[in-house]
Amino acid sequence: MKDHNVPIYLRLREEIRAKIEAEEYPPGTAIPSENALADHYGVNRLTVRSAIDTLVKEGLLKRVQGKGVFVLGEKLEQNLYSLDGFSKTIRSKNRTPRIKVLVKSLRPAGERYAAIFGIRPEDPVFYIKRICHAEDVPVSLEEIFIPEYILPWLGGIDLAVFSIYETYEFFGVTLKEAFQTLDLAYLKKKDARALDLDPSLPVFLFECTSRDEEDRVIEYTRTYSREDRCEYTVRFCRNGEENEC
Amino acid sequence: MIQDYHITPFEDTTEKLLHYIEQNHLPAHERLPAERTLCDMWGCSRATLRSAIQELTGRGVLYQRAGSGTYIQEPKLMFDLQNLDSLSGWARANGRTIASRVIRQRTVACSDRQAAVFGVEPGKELLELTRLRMLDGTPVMIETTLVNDAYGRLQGHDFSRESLYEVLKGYGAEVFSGAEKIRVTFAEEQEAKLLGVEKGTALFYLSGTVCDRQQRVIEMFQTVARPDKVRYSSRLKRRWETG
Repeated sequence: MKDHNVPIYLRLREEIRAKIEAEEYPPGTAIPSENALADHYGVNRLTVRSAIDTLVKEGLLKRVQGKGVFVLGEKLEQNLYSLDGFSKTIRSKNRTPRIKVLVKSLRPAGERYAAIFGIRPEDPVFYIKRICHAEDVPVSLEEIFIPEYILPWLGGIDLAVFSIYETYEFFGVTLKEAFQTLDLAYLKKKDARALDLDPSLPVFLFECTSRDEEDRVIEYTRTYSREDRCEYTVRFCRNGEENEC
Repeated sequence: MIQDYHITPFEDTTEKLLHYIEQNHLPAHERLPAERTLCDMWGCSRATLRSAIQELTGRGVLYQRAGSGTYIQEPKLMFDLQNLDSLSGWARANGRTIASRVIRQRTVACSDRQAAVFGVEPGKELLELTRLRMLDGTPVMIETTLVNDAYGRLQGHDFSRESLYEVLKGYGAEVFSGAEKIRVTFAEEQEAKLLGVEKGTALFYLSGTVCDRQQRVIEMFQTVARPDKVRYSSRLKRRWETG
């Protein structure tokens, strides 16, 4: 029994999404006009427009004045289970990572980061704020905190040339695992501008605490990624039996 | 090169406030001490404290009630992305209740695309189930799932009470693993109504498939979730290159 009385209303966004994913609407081509879609699905134009607006904000479609609505290419896909770092992930997709360091400084840990790293509030931590690009496209803003005692020579490393993970390797720090949470957040205007982002759009916010083989907390990072340019994949298992996934 | 960078009073106060809440394990709906008390404690101005409160309100840590003060927000539902059973386990461990309301339950004919995913003939019957999940009575996510109804018996179950995976297990289809993608979408009118948010509100959008031990697809799902109520988590491991 096929039910034709689905409120297409809710489903239109998903119908168009499915056609984009199946490449029935291939990247770079225009989707049918609002009028054509409204006729096809038997809904009014406003409903069609609302669904398209949503997919534009999601970064799947782009409106071009006077020409129509076009399908954009794939988003940058990153996974949520391996610790690769930004540069390695981008290189694995045959694209060039480009890092622009906005701030690289030493500051006292303060009570909060002292508690996170198990150090004293007056102990110095590196604070790095940077924008990560894939080729020339800004995709994320990172705020990285690393206790000075973990990487005393970090000050001399050019982080536009070497990744933080490479730097760990240089100094014999072995990153083991990290725990990460994911929220949605909104950036302050200045930070949004650095990401070339409309500040009314949300960003993915990852808060990541990394440990090394000696079980020391070596890094705490907040990453704000553009939701219209990034998507994340994860594999899961019954009871979290990760070895069998 | 190390720059001179001074933490602004705003950043400093935001960190102190967050630390104060975390360190003292302030419970949900507890009221923050008076602004003056906090300003004296940290030597900051009223204006700075207020921007810090604003910032943490935006991050969902605090909420404000006009004329009455600032309170600690309920913790978000923490959903472990790598564990299929995480929702009920998390609720039990944290003394919260998760309830389901069935929004729609019906039989649909499999499209060509879905048939390819499930490895069945197009037109075969699938169960389509849309459930609204509630955390302590507040709607937090809408889960829509398509299930290969191999025995044609799923339609008779009440999924507001029964766990879909338990029912499937009873028919010999035991869920084992899966994969999903996480993106953002924006609430359409009906989603907004069900979730009790404004139309256009940003939502998490998760979609993926669940398989049995033989890697046969049992379920295709898509979930939209309120980011003010739900947070996801995962563990990352270092991948070692071999060879």
